Amino acid sequence: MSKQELKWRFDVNTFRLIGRELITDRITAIYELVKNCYDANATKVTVEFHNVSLNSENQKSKIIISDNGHGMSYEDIRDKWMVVGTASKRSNLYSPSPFNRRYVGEKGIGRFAVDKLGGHVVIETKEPNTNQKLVVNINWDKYETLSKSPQLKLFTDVENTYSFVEAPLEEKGTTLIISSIQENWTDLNIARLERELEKIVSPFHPLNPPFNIFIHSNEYEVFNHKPIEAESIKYSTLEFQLNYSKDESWQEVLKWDKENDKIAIEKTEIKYFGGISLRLFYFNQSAKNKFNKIYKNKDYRIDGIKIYRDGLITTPFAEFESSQNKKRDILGIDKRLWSGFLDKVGTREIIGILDISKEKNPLIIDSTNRQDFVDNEAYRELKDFIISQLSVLEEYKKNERKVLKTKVDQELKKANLEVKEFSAAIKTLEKTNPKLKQTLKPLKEQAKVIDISIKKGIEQQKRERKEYVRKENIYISLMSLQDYAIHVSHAVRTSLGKVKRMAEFFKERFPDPKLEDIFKDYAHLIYNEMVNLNKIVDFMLSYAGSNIDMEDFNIKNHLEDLFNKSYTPVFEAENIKALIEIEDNFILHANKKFFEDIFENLISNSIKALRNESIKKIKCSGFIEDDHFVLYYSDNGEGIKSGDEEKIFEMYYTTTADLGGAGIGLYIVKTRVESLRGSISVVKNEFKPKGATFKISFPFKK
Amino acid sequence: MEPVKILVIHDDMMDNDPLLFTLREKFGSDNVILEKKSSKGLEYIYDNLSTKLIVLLDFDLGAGEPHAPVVFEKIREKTSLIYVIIYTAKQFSSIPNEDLISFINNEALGIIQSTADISEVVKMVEKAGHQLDTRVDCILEQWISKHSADERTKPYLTTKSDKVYSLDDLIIEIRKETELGQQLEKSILQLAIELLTSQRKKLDD
Repeated sequence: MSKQELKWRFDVNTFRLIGRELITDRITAIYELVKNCYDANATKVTVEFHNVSLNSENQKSKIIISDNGHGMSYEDIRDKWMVVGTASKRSNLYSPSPFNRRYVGEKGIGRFAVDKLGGHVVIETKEPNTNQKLVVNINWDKYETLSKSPQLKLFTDVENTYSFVEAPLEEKGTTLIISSIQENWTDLNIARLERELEKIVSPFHPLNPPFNIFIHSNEYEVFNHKPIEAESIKYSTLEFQLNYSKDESWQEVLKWDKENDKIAIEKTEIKYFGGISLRLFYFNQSAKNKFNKIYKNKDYRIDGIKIYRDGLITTPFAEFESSQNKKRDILGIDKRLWSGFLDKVGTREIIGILDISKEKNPLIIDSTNRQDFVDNEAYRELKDFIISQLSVLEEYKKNERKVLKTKVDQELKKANLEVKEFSAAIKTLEKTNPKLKQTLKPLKEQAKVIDISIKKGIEQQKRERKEYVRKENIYISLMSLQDYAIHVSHAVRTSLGKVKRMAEFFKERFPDPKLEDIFKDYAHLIYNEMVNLNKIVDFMLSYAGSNIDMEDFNIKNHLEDLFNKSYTPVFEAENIKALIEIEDNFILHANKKFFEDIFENLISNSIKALRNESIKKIKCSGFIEDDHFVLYYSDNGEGIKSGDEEKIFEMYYTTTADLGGAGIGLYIVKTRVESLRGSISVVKNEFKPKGATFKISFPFKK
Repeated sequence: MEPVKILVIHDDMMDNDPLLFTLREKFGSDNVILEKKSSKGLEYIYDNLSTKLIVLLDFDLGAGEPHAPVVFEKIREKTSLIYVIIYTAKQFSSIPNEDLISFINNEALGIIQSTADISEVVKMVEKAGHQLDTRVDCILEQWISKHSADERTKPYLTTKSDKVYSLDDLIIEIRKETELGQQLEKSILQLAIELLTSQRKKLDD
């Protein structure tokens, strides 16, 4: 055995940046080190804690992470381990065969994670078929002192001793022995680590070859060479398993069954991003309470949807983050600001395990930082798909609320009835036994009081519900505005930018006779842009207060007026044949202007969609269907691209930018319909083979 | 000298926008191109890798199209010689940090708000144009691209390790900023300085 010296190759700032800034949590630190074991083709990793509890002496404390991977050579240590941001993992995406694992470690950060854990580390590493193992000693404290010194900038002067030690030929792998542990580890801390580590491997798609992780502690009995396995997910309110078949080309999806008020699983075509299997667990409030009680308020276990590729976690990258608000929301589940926000399902209510594979989902590509996927069409569709599945849960949630409301109503009614029966029984008793009159008197009075209280309760509940609905309405209007405000600033900026550039042009160049045509064009464009801006401002102002009065009006009469009188000049100018067929009368209590906005925008949309048709038709029909008033609005224009049925309602989604389409119209339509508590969707087109049909439905007031 | 081309990738700009008008006046109307779809813009870039190109890149590029960070990454996969200026209506504070970091690390020339004066944008484009004209790598690349296809595929340079490079190979090395590419640039600069200091008189033309 001979002792020699090794130097790091990086400077002091790198150390500060990488060691201290990037690894902010010691759980993440261990997580990073375990990921490195995975990258080294290990099938087994053990994380050992020795004397780390509060009562232990620091000199004896140790964390040992050992794996049976391919180990490192002297050159690996010198040229890779001791150089920051080593490129080997960057240029190769997969670990050496036969494992071919997708690298998960983060560009050489892992080794600095060690610094987060303890002041001193010994690396023992051995490649297979060699008879020596390499032992390197690194004393972080020295670096720490150095990093504080103002003169010395480079660490290359610090020498780390290393030596080669005899070892059996078949032994392989790397062991990190970290001592002078910086912070104590309680059993709770280790349990948290366990929770994070169990996410690495998909519980439903075991890895082959395996990657088994064990935790051991010499102080806490529960961690006696404990294998890490994902626990089965319990106590959820709902649980779904969606599968797919590539051969038969189907993908299962969740669908809200309106008829039976329940969630159904349907088969559709395999999506663009390839077949996926998804396990989804939904927790309502009481399930969450139960879950938290059992798991002692560790509600970070309910943590949204994780994507696994070939059984291994991809995103979110299981960085431990105890604060829910700081968690990254890659799938955009919690970022959805306004989509029936009262019934929105957030990441804290679901656990999802989505399995994809290299082979079946080649269009989902890992981004270079391995923290997300490349933002391409397939990934965007996958995200949309996930959101669409959540929206089915949202329907369920909405329904659950409705059912609860009905139940409470019925119980109150029942209680009221029972009190009445009780009073009647006392009366009968009184009649048959006049002697008991005195004895029954307090009972009678009490029943009266209870009766009054129940009635009051019912009244109160009615009032509160009304108030709730009123508040909900306000919220709905306001929440839609939040989304709007974000987009509106962008739109106004874009518009203003255009106008400003044209105005600037006038200012600099007018009156250059050579540019006269351009001046004319610009004057025109400025005008159009202003009209557009005005539209946006008007819509925004429509929420501003005084004009949001509600009134009763008959939809049939009002629509007939609109179609046969108000809009006639537009239809004539555009040569459109408009047809209105409203069968039933229906009184809507709403803001008339909001209602008109719906049709104004639909018609304006139709005009654009009909621009290339020789025969132009618009039709609006309405009737009562079950407990809804339903309107169908159709045109025979160019129609809506399949797959765009939801997107078209998004703000600034436009397919007619060239015609001045700002992508506001259908957004207004949807917002208005929803503010009237209705719903709108795209249905099969009435005018075949071309065209689009919207179904708008308003519920009866109960 | 080969004229510089300006590619504007913007989903919401009209072809007669005053900015484009002004740029066309300055740089020639054939040299200013507007692409509303970023995928098309990328195609153009890939087809014109050896052109002196400045890209004015909008941030949000409409549904279904790659947005600025992706476009930028794709450009940098192929070349580091094209200048990219981010031109956006987005509030700077709402641009995700990772994207900003990527812009800086991959040398975006600048970020400018779409409400800025035309003159400011033009100034930035001119600055990019000037840099394209003076950067060693750009000049070298242009010089190489002036050779005939035949000449460019012939062996041109042999390294110490006996690797043979044609002019076309060298272009790739320079674009991708490989060790050899960087070495080449450095040597040329050193040579230029040497020429400048030792043979001043001859450099007058």
